[in-house]
Amino acid sequence: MSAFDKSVILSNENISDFTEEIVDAYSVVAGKRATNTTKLSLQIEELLLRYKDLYGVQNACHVRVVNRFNHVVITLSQQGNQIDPLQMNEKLFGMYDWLSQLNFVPKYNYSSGSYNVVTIYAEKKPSRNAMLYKMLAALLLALAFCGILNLFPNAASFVNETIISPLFAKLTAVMTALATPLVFLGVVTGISGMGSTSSFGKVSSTLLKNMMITYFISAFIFTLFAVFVYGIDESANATGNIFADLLKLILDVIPNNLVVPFTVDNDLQVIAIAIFVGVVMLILGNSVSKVNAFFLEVSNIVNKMMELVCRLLPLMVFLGVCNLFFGKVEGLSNIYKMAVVWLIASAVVVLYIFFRLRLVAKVPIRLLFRKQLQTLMINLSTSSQIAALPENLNCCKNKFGIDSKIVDFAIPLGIVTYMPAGAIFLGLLPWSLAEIAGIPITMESCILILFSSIVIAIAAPPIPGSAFAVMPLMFSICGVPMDMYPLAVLMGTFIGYVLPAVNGYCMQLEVLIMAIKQKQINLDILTSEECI
Amino acid sequence: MNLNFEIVQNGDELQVILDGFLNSQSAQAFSDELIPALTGISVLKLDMTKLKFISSAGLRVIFKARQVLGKESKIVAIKPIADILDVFSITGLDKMLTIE
Repeated sequence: MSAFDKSVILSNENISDFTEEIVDAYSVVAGKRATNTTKLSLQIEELLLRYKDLYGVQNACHVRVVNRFNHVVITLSQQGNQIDPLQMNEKLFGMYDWLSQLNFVPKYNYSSGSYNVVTIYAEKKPSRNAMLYKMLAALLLALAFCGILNLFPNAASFVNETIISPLFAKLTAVMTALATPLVFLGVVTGISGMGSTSSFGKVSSTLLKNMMITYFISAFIFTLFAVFVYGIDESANATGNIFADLLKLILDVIPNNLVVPFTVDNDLQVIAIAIFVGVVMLILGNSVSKVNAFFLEVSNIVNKMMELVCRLLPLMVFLGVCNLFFGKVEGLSNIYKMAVVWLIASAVVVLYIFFRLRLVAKVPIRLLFRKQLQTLMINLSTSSQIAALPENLNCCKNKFGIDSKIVDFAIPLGIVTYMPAGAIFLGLLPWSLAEIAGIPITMESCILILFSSIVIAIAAPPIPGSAFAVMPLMFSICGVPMDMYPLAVLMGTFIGYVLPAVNGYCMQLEVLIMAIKQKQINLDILTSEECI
Repeated sequence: MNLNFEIVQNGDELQVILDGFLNSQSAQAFSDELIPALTGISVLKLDMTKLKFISSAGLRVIFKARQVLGKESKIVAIKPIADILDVFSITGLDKMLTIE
């Protein structure tokens, strides 16, 4: 339901007041998390002025304000000829595009054949670490609760068997039930949506190619580390012939039936179907735009469902820790091993990106780090790339000197799709848990983990807790029992806190490399000590 | 929320005293007076001591003046209040104006 819904015939006399009403609606919707509204007010009024100039005063301009996830979505629409109001800065202001200075990234589309629609995703202040604090509080509460209850063995056993275990099992089941459609829709809409990103031309294809290469390098690095640290069970190979095993592996991923994989939770086959559907939709393009819109809307619904379920994560941590405590699951002490391996593997990925940067330009790493420090600190302190977005954009444009057209496209895209540290985490998780559970990791599982971690990391939506949601898929792919889920939640709680910072740091370097290669950068600004 | 303004020419320098609110309601009238007066001007001084508010519509007038005057000319903003300085800083206009 929208918080504000109003149509007005625009005129110089009413634009200021209308702007004020819209900004007030934003403040009401965002509540305590409303940010400084000066930028928003400037942007809204500028857009309304452009709407009046471009589409005339015959039709009313319709504005809606809707609360969605971490943003307040403001939509402006008016009937008229198709003219993009975001592309008229040169005509108005010479070469100076001041709207892009505002760090909002509005999107334009021509809807229903006659409506010029601009959508603004106005930020809310990040709820600083709210989820992390809740999860840490749940952890401490669970430890205290278990400590006290342990003094009464009979009561402990009763509480665990009748309340904690069934409740935890049900929550896990709900999470798992949503994970498969979440990834399916993520893959389908991600691939079919490439049609619109291809319109950005060489820049987007280079960026996506580089991102994919980094994903694969990350996956190979964690696999190497995992084989070294956890070991691989060569005796468990099915035929002893690596080529026969690989062929069988590939054939097993291809489903015999388009329905059964969904009913038996064969997640690999579901992902294969999703890739197939996405590619076909990409080929068919505009002729399946209605199906595309349908998948996008269903994806929004499932994302929202998952977001709501993820609000129960602190309860899940509480129940999970109690379950671990009373269920006497071994291996809590092994958590540190995975954290160390994840840290080293992530550091190697960062070094690999630095190496690539070194190949295209000789920029002092210390200088770069100083320029990136502010974004890194916001990422670390809030554990959110969305919170660090304004400073991220500022760093890339004003401290690196990258062309704003690249930055405004690449950084928001990267926040959603670029998660190499997440792929490393998702990949290491089954290795670590399999070792604790005493399950051998075969060459087959090793390859499956490698590829699945990439696909699932890309498909996971950028909502808090989505890593927890997709973990069960990694479990099912390599046969780790769901009993280990509480341990995974614990690992995710700690490592997940640092993940956005590593991803964001790598992404800035990735965009920098691409800008240097495409010569879309002012190298004087990049090497300037003053622009820090 | 009106804008009162006074335009005074002194050779190739144009001084504009602004008082009130420079928003969509007042920007058009201000622009209609200011832009024709810029012919032959190389320095535009905007006295903002009494200017209480500037919106996008107001910024447009300054950008327009900058376009008309050309890059060799100079626009000076005199004593803008903190809120207006904030707007200049947000939009990057502070780098194009001389602020006194």
